Amino acid sequence: MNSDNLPEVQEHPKARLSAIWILPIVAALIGGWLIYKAIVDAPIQITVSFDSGEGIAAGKTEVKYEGVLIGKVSDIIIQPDLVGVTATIDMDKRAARGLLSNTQFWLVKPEVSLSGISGLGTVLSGNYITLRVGDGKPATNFIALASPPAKSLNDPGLHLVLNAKDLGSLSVGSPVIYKKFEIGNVQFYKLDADGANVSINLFIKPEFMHLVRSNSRFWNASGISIKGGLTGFDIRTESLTSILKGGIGVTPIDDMNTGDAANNSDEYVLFDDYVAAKAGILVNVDFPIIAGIEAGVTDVVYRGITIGQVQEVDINQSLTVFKATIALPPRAAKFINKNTRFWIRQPQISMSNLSGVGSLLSGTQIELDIDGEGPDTVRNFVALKKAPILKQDAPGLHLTLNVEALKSVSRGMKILYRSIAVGSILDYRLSDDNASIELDAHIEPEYVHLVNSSTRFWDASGIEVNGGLNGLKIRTASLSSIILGAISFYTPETGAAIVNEDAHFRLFSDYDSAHSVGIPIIFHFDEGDGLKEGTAIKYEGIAVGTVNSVSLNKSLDGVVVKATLKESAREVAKADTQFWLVKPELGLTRTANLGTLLTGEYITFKLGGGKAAFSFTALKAPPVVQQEKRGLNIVLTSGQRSSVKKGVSVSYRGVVVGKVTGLSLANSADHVRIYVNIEEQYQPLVRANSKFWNASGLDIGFKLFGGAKIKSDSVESILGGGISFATPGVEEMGGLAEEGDTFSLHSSRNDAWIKWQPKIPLELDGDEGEYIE
Amino acid sequence: MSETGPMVSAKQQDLFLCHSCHKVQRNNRTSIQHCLRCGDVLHFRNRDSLTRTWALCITSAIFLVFANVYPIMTVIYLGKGNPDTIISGVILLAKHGMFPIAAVVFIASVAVPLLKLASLFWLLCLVHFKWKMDAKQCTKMYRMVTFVGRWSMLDLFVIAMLVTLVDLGGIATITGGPAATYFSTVVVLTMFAAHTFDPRLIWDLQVNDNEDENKK
Repeated sequence: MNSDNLPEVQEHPKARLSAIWILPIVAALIGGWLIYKAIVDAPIQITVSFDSGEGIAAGKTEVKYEGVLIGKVSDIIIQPDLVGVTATIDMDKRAARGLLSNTQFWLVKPEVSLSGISGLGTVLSGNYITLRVGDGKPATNFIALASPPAKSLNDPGLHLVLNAKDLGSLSVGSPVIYKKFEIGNVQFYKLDADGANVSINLFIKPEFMHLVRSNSRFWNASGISIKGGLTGFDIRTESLTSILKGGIGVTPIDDMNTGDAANNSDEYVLFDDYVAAKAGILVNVDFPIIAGIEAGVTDVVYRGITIGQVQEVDINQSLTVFKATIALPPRAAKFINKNTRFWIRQPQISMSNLSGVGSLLSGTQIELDIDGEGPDTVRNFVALKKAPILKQDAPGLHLTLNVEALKSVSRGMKILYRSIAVGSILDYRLSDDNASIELDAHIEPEYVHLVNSSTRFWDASGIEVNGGLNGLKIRTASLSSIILGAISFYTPETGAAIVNEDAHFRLFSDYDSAHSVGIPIIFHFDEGDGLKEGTAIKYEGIAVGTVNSVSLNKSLDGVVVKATLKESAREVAKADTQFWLVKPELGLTRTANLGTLLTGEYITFKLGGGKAAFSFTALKAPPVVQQEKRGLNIVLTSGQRSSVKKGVSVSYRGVVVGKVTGLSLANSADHVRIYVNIEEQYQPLVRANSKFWNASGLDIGFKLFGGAKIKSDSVESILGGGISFATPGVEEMGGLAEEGDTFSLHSSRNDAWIKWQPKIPLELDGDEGEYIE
Repeated sequence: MSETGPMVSAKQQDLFLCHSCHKVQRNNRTSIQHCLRCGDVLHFRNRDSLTRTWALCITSAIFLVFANVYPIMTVIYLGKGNPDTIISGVILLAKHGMFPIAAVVFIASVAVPLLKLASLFWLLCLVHFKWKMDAKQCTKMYRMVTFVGRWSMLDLFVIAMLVTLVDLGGIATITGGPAATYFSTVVVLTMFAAHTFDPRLIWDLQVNDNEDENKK
């Protein structure tokens, strides 16, 4: 085309490599890398022999290790001898280092049975083959196990052996449970060579290894444990799995940091249940020989709550002391120290005291008490002989209540205020003179203000039934107070003086006596005639109290009279005071206390001394006053009492100078002793040779020729009887009669006696120097 | 210029065809010439057509291998499922008696990419080694390749839809496999390759032949 000589424009030489070649180079690189990877990661072919090919599919069944896919069955053929199958498995190259001669393969299938469900995941994902890496040389041919193997000691984690009496409902795979966490499981179990025990091999997962210490306790937590009693039911189960599959519980016996870490192959005992597992600390307590302490039965109670059990009872060499080993819960470890006290609580039951009903069924119980101090290492104790006084130094108010008798009393009896428990009885004991019971009461600090000097306590135990024409009244504080007893109180005056620690209070026997203002006292009368509610208690004509109620006593042979003394008459309530009922006397021979016809009978008393007392036995009659304070007291002896009686006047020349203060049979019963009091101013009239005669009645003598002669001292003496006496002349009269001298009482007078007219000087009040002629 | 007469190409007549605006213009014999109308750089033939096509085709060939070796899709139904390669998927469909679908998938995913790539290689070799072939037939084949190439994306389209639609957690899940990436790369690269190949090169061979004959 170019005819001219001009040089042709040359296209640019294509010497340089076009950029487009980067593409195939990159592709080649990627391809090369992929091929390299494929070669490097080429699966390792291994063969695994199975007993059966069931559940294994070529190209499907995977090999998983710890849940991760590491291979797949590529082919499965029946073995040449027609027994079992051989699976060819393509294993991930990275799993090569696990393919050692002792590596174990087995097929994981879903398993649903009564005792357990396992491999549930395989229902969806299909069966898979898994392996446990062993040791040895690299290998490619394996024989599969029929079932999952037990963990070997080399596996990380803790491998323990439990010795049990029987297998219970445990099975391979049963969980080991710690605080409801599954920390391991049962690997396998076997009978001991002698067939006596079962060895159970456990595996504890590595992350929970530290929870098992050398002093940990294992117990069979299979199924459901139901314990029932009066106090309720206790249903214990670890987990749903453990109900179906059985399980083993484990707990440290002490705080976590005690005990050495457990080692592989350590042996433990498998206890039957939680309590038997000595789940806690062990203490040794020496008890006196008392029946009723039984290993595994006797409970240890703290404030009514069962916290432990006697594990073991032994007797010492000399057969004098029970040595009991007591298991206490781990939390008790914080409180057990040298001040911890143990004692026996034996069941008690009586008509009036139903306390400790629970212990009646549960048998003897051991109680313990702790003080607030920290724990120490003392683990050996000697039991107290009787229950100690609890809470003696507890904050609050401590009082002493005095009572003669309680319907029921027990330590721990509640003190109620408007039916709210505000305190308790810590202890009780007889008072020093054995006359009453002293109760140590404790009022909780927040209720101390409810108690002051006007507070009245009463025994609110049991049921109080008051019956009468106007109905039946039943009073009880609470159901528990019926059974357990209780003490109640009320405070009439809120502003009264605050009481001090250890103040003494009287404990009233019931609600009514506590609520009656004054000092309640009780009389025991032989009969209730004339006694009724409202009957006054008078002294010297002044009312000092009233009767509140009259009732028959328990044995129906007497009357119990409850009365209230006025506060001002507190001094009356002394042990030696004598009470009696004053009735009107209206009779031929004697009329007295006519005032009572109008005012009604009343109770009076003769003041006595002694300790304060609130219960008295009333006299049948006014007390015999054997000795008047003033005047001369002499005794007349007589064969017969005749018509002489107390109060009969004694006259001298018809002038009353004294009276009979009482009479009684002589100790020898051969005569009557008549006590006579001669007024002081007439004392000189009685001389050693004075003659006494019975001036009662009429002495009527008939003389045929002298007419009738009637001798009488006075009309009064005719009716009421009387005693007269005469004293002979100065020469014969003898000395002054001494206090307590005895004279004979003649039945009639000798006429000669009235002729005696001795002159005896008297010191009459107001008429000094005057003489009686 | 008749059909039966010796073919004279535009290049022989020093005529450029602008690739952008298709304006025919004369070669002024400078090194870099621009279109008089749109200003684009002018070439007689697609630039580096043969080299580029070769590179793209080789890349595609490499990726096609992996696209068929690696699994393209995993269907997990109730926890069970295995990754499938393209071929195993086709076989699976055929096994289940779904022959029409199996045929469609086979044609779209196996036959077409393979034939396309083979055709491209054939054309490249034709031009490169100056094989004497019927240019008309070759051009027809080229047209087929460009037409049918895009339909290979059908398979990927199906996978993309399934992966997004079937995601029912434990019941059924479909996930794509690494082959999907390789396969899509193959499809895209072969489309580029078909585009970069300049069919005029086929005709250039005949022109050259004629020239050679003329020289003789």
